[in-house]
Amino acid sequence: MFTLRRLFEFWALVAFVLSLAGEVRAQATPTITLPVSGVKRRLDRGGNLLNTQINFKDCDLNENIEFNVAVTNPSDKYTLQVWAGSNCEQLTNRNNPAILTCWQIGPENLTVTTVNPAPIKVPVQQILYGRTLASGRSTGASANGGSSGTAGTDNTAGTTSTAGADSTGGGGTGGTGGGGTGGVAAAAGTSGGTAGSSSSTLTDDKDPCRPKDSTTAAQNISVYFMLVDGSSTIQGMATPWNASYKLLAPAAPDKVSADVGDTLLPISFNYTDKTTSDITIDSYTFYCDPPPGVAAAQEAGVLPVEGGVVPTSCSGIPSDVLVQGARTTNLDAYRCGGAGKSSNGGNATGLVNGVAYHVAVATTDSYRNTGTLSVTTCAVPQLVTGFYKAYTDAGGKGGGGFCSFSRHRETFTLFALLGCASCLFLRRRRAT
Amino acid sequence: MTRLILVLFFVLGSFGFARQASAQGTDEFGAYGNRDRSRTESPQNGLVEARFGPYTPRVDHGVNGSPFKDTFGTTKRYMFGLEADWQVLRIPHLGTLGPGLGWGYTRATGYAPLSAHPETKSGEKTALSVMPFYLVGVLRADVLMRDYGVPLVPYAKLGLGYALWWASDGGTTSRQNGVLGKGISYGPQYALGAMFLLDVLDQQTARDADNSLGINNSYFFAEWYGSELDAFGSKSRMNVGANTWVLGLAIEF
Repeated sequence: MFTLRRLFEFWALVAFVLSLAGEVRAQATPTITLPVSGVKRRLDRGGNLLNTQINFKDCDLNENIEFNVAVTNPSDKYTLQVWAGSNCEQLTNRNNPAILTCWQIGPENLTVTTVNPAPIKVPVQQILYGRTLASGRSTGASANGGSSGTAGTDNTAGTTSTAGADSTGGGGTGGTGGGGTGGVAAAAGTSGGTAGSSSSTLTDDKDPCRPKDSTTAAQNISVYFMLVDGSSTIQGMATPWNASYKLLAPAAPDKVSADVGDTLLPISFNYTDKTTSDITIDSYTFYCDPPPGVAAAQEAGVLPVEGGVVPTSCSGIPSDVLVQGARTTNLDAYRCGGAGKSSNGGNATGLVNGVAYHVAVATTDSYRNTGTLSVTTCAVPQLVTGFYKAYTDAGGKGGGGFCSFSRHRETFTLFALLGCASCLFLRRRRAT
Repeated sequence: MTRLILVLFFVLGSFGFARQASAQGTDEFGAYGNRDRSRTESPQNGLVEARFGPYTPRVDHGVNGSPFKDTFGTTKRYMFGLEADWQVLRIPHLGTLGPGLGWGYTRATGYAPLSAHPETKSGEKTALSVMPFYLVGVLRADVLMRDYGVPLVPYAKLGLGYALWWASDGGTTSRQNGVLGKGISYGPQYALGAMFLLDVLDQQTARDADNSLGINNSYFFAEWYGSELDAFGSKSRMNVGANTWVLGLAIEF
C-alpha cells in the first residue's frame, strides 16, 4: 500500500544506489598503454635494424629510449613504475633482488595525474642492467643467494655508467652500492645475502655492455610500465615493450688465408668447428694493414720505389694494429672489403701491388654488431694477366662498352641487315 | 657425343613406333593407337624451347695466340638458353614458318696467371661472360608427323645473332689501357636440327595437356648450330660465336 513513508524509503534507496555508482565511477581502474609509435629511438636505425632491437653500440653510447605512454583514469593514488626484465607483472619477480629477474628503471614512483604524462626516457644500460656485468656477475645463470649488495642509488643515467650495483656480493659481503653515475635504481636490494648456492662467477668487471653469459644469440627483454598502489599491486594490466638485445657479435673465423691478385687479395676464411658459425652473421668485413690506397701505403713508408726491389712475400713482422681478438671500433680506416653471410671468401680491394698487407676478418651480425678480429694473414698483391689483358695483348680489339658503335663505325652494317630482315618479314606477312 | 644422340634417337624412335604398332586398333569407342588427326586440337601458334649444350666461343680466331685457351683451359663450357618461336605461317604438307627469338648465357672462369711468372696462377678470378641473342626465321617441317605418323620434325633456322660479352677480373669489369672490357658482337646465325615427338610415348597425357593447358605437342630435340658473331669479319669485334650442338625440350602451344 502506497504511503508517504514508502515514498521516502524509495527515494532514499535511489540516492544510495546513485551514490555508490558515482563512487565506482570515481574509482575506475586506471590503465596504461604504450602505442607502437610511442617508442622513439635516437641512434641510427639504418639497415634492417628494428626499433625493438638493441645492439652493442646502443648500449655503449647508452642511448636514451623515449617512451610516450598514455594513461586512462589517472589518479594520484597510484604511481607509475617502470621495470625491466621478464614477467615483471608478477610481484614475486619484482620483489626478489637476489635473482634479478626484474629491476626497476626510469623515474622512480612517478605520480601520474594527466592522461599524457611527460615522455619517459630510459637509458639502454638501465634496461639491460640485470643481464650485464653491471649487475655484478658473469656467466650468471641464476645467481641464487649471495646477491649483490646495495644497488646503486637512483641514477641519472650517465653516459659512462660505472653501474651502481656492487659486485662483491657472492660471499655475502655486499657492499654499499657504488651509486655510480650510471647505476640502477634500488631494485638490486640491500641485503648482503648469504653465500647460498650461487653458481655464478664473481667478477670485478662491471662493463654495463657485456652480457653475463657468453651466448652470442639474441635475448629477449621487456620493459614494463605499470601503475601500482601503495602495496605494489598493479592496477589494471602492466604494459610491456618487448625488445631483444644482442651485445656480442659472432666469433670471427679461425681460419683465414690470402691469395695474390692485382691490387687485391682474394681472402678465404672458415671455421674449424662449423658450429662456431652463428646464424645471426650478416656479413664479414676485411681489415688491411696498411690501410687501402696509395696514400696510406706511402704514409706507412712501404710504397715500392720505382726501380727498386718489389717484395713478393711478407717479412714475417706481425701487424701491431690488427691483433687477433681486438675490437674493431676504431679501425674503420683499415676496412678493405668484405663478403656476404653465405660466402667463405671475398676480395680485399684498393691495395697497392708490391706492398705486404696484413689482413684480418671480423663478423657483423644482424644487429649490426661487429665482432673482434680473427687471426691475421699476410700477402703481397702483384700484377696478373687477366683474360681481357691477354686478349688485347694478343691483338684483340673488341671492347669499349656495349654502346661502342661509333668507335668502329659499324652501325650502318648492322641496321641495314636488320632493316632488310624486317622488310622481308613484312612483305611475307602481306602476302599471306 | 654425336653417336650418343643417334643412339638416343634410335631408342626413343623405336619405342615410339613399337608402341604405335602394338596399340593400333579399333574398339567400341572408335580408332585408337595411331595419332588421331581427327581429334580436336587447340590452335597452334608458337613454340618455346629450353636449350642446353657445350659452347666454346671462338675468341682465339682472328688474334695472335690463344688467350681464351691459355686463360680458361680446354675444359668444356656450357650454355643455357631459351627460344620462343611464333609459327605465323602454316604451309600445307610441309610445316610451319615464322620468326624465333632466342637468348643464351655462358660464362668461362679461371685464375689469372701472375704476369711475372705466367706459369703460376694467382688467386684472382678472371672471367668472360657471353650473352647471345638471335632473331631467326624458323622452318619446322612437321609433315612427317602430321601426314605419315613419323614422330620426327626436322627444322632449319637462319637469321642474325647479336651477343653481349663482358670480361671481369677480381669481380669487376676488366679495363685495359682505358678500354672497358665489354662489348657487342654480331653476325649470321644458322641451325639444323630434328625434334622427336614425345607425345607418342604417352598419348593420353598429351591429349590431356592439350585439353587443359593448350599444349599441342612436346618434343625432345637435338640441334647443330653455328653463329659467326664477328661483325661479318670485322677485326674490331671479339668473336664470341661458336659452332656447336645443343639438346633441349620444346613445347608447341
